[in-house]
Amino acid sequence: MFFSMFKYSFKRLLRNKVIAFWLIFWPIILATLFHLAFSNILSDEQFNDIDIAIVNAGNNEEFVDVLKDTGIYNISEQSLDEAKKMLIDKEITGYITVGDEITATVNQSGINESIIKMTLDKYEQVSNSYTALITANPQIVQSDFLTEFDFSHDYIGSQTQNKNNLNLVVIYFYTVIAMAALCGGSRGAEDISGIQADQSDVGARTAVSPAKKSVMFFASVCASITTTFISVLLVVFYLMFALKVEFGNLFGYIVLLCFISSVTSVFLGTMIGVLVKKKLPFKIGLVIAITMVGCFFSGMMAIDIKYLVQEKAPLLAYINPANLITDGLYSLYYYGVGERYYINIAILSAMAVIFSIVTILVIRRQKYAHL
Amino acid sequence: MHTFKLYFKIISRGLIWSFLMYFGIFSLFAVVFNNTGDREKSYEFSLYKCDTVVINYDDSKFSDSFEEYITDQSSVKNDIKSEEEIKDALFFRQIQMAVIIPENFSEDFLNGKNPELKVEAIPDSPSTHLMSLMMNSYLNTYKLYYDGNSGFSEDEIISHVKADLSKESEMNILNDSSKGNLSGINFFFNFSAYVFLAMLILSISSIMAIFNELNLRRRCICSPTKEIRFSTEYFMGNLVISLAVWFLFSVYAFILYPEQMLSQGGLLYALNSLAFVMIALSLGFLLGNVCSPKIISPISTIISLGCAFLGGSFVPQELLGENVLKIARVIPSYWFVRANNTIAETGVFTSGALKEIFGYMGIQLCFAAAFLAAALVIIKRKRTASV
Amino acid sequence: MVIQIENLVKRYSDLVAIDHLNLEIKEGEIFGLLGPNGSGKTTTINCILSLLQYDKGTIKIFGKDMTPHSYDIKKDIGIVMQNVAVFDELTVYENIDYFCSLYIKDRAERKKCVEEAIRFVGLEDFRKFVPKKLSGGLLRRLNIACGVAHKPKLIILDEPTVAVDPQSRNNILEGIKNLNKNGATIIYTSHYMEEVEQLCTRIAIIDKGRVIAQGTTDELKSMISQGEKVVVEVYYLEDEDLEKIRELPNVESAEFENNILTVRGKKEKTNLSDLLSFINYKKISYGKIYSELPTLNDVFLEITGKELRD
Repeated sequence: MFFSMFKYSFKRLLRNKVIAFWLIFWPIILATLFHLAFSNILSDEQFNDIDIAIVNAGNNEEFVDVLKDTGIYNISEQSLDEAKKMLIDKEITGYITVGDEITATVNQSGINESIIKMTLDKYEQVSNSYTALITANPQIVQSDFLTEFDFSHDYIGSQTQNKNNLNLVVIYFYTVIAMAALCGGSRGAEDISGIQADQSDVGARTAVSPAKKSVMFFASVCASITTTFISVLLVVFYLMFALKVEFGNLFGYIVLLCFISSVTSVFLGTMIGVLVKKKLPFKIGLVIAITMVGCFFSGMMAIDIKYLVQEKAPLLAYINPANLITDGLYSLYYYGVGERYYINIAILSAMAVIFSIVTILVIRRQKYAHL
Repeated sequence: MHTFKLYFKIISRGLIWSFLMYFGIFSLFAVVFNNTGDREKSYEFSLYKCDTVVINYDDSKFSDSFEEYITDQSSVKNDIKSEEEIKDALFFRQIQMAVIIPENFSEDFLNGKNPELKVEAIPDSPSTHLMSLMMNSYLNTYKLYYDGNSGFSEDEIISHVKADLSKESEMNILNDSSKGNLSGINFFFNFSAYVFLAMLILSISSIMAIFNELNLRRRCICSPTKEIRFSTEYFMGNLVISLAVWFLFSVYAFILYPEQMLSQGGLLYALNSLAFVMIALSLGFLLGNVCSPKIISPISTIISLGCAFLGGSFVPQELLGENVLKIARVIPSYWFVRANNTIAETGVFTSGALKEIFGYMGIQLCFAAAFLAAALVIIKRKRTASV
Repeated sequence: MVIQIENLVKRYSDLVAIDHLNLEIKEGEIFGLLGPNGSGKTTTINCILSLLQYDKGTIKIFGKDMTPHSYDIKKDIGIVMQNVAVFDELTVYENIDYFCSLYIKDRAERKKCVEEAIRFVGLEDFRKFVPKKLSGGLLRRLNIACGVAHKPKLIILDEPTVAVDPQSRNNILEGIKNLNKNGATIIYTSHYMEEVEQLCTRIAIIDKGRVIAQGTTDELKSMISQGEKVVVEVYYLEDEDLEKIRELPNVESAEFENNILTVRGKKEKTNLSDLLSFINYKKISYGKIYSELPTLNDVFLEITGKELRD
């Protein structure tokens, strides 16, 4: 009996176009939109040589040489008017006027502009430092020390970050996976409706039959979990292979996370199904609302929010299933397999167990006062 | 005008709550994602301060002074301590760099062993360059005094370094009055593209779905009232709703940004959003006549989000990829956002600037006309087909 | 002639829904269109109203060709459809007023019509109710009011009493008779034979898109071979007595089974008295006795049965 029920539940789910849309196509469409919109969003983080113009370069050739030696500027020599025009048109970040004083003119107080400032500062400061040193130790002039001293020694060590590892845009895609998984909750709610006489005519029919409610329930829940799991995997494949989103290499752990998410979301749906005393469309609406609010707090609309919640309201982060899924994927990507991943898995599993226990307890006790 | 009156009866009794709910949610979004307030553009240059974390394992006067210098030149976050916290903060761009001064750094540094500072940062980024420049400046200056047998004591070196590094060059900000300063309100209006599309398409098509219900439609068709009359009155109802939404949103903008809205720029923003509302109206009208009630919700979600993402409502147009911008030209909200951005950047509205802005509005009206024409064609076809 | 349909053909890809249908409806009639589900009644109605495009044939109403743009014809037609077509957000009064406004522009005249329509269907106590709060029967009454408020000359009702309580049903049937008395031509479609029999002056029986029989009730009943049926509860009957009954004049057939004697008479002939005399003469004891005249049900069964055999 179990297998026949499972088979038919599964068939019904497969043939249901509405479910296919919201569980598979909608996440794919949303992820594609993200991909298109965010493809270039980190371009600001790539340092490119700064475009500058120098006015009256002839006044201080040495300075111009120093600028060229830094290797980070694209320098052109211009008249003052030309330089101003170029600055207004944003063709250059700033222009440097060489005279008794060396000054720079820029559009705003940005990073590249600050780099220009630092370069100018350094030029002044270095000669002051030399002067101060010579004043304190006049003999130093006779040695090679001053000419050999490397003022540009770099004390900054090799950075331990890999650029690929810092692509924060992936969080958006992980929230889409969380959304796809949590939409499985609506299937769970419908499973409950199918066995409750006061929820649907089909439920009444089922209640009257000799089939055990527990078997029916278990069979349809298994079918829901299976379809949700398959849909989530399809979405993951699309993200991985079509959109080339980075997940790290730990595919097995990703699959495990997807599976547990599917189980948790279906049981979340069944729990809502038994506890909320309204008709099915309301319950599904509630599941979707919880999904979207959960995804919002796990960064779907603005990544900062995930971090904010993590720091300021960590409890919320731990009880939000969308965040657990997103964070699980994030931890696999950024940290590899470790404590953080296992904590997310453990909480999701605990949730699944709790939700299922609540569901079973409530169903068993149910008698109808009125249909 | 009975159908027109009926339209509003149906809204006021059936749809008013969902209407208000959408407006409420979207308004909330607009506020949440708002760049709070438009800072007066400062004409005084100030150094960009990167968000950093400094962890100092070396216990010495030298490293303390170095740490102090870094703190002075950047914005240090003191509540991030553990390795995991640092990594997370860096990932989420809450910090741009974490500097870890290793144990014995000062010893190795002063003994010429050229130790390296450990740094967690975004590789090869402008902020990393800036921080590197700044830190190396301090270290190299200190080294100069130390290795150069200046005879200074540790405290004297520290104060000399401080003095040297406090000499700053003159930085000027170009005072270009032809530049505008409306970035906060600009975001608000760019975001409104999403709000208008989502609200109006959903509302209008929900109402049209009620009128297009098969049996009611049959009853109406069998009456001597011409179908064109029905379509006209539906459209007028839609128009009034759209104008109401536009007006509400404009008032909301005025409440949030009173000074900016009263300027020439503000007026242009309002006009531009009116042009866009016409697009949302005619698109909603088209979809209401084409789609069945069941698919209207997913379709409207896809269209409104798609247009918002690709048109530059969520991610600024400057940050969208080249290919995306090419596709985006066929998306009506692209032109709306482009017009808004132009308004934001223009300080003085010359006739040339106005021509450009009105040109973008014209393109939007063309879109609106196209959608409306398509809707009319479909309505006409429905008239002659079987009901 | 109010409606003239000639050679109407309507196909849905391979299925012929209406198959060379011919129909004439005269002024002042209550014309019944009778047939089982799927026979083409609603399709025919939708073609008449130009809601459907048809493949062949002509339809004339009030002597003029009927097209989707025949607004002058439309103003004199009222329709009451199978499915209730009202706005959920409007009250009873508002629904009737809105639909009437599509026909009657003058406010005073319309107000009068709406009030009369409400009284006509007996919904005076429910004017401010919304459709959700009305029972099935009351909803149907509202549906009718919306269709007839503008006092049309031709009223088409498509299965108006489906799922309706007996009180509302009587109300509806009486109302239709009154409308007819006031000068409206009525087309009434149904699969409830008793209603059609009770209400209609002329009836067309339709099956598989064709008119298979047409005429007044009596004309239709005379088409079949059966006459009156007499049923007697008899405790014991000898075989030879049964034979003798079969030989009685005007007896078509006689059967005896399970204490029930069923005697069918010849067309239009009655044999009740002969039978009773015979039973009394033979001193056969009997219990209950009743007789039935043939109904339209019998007509339909016989006609379609014949069709099948052919």
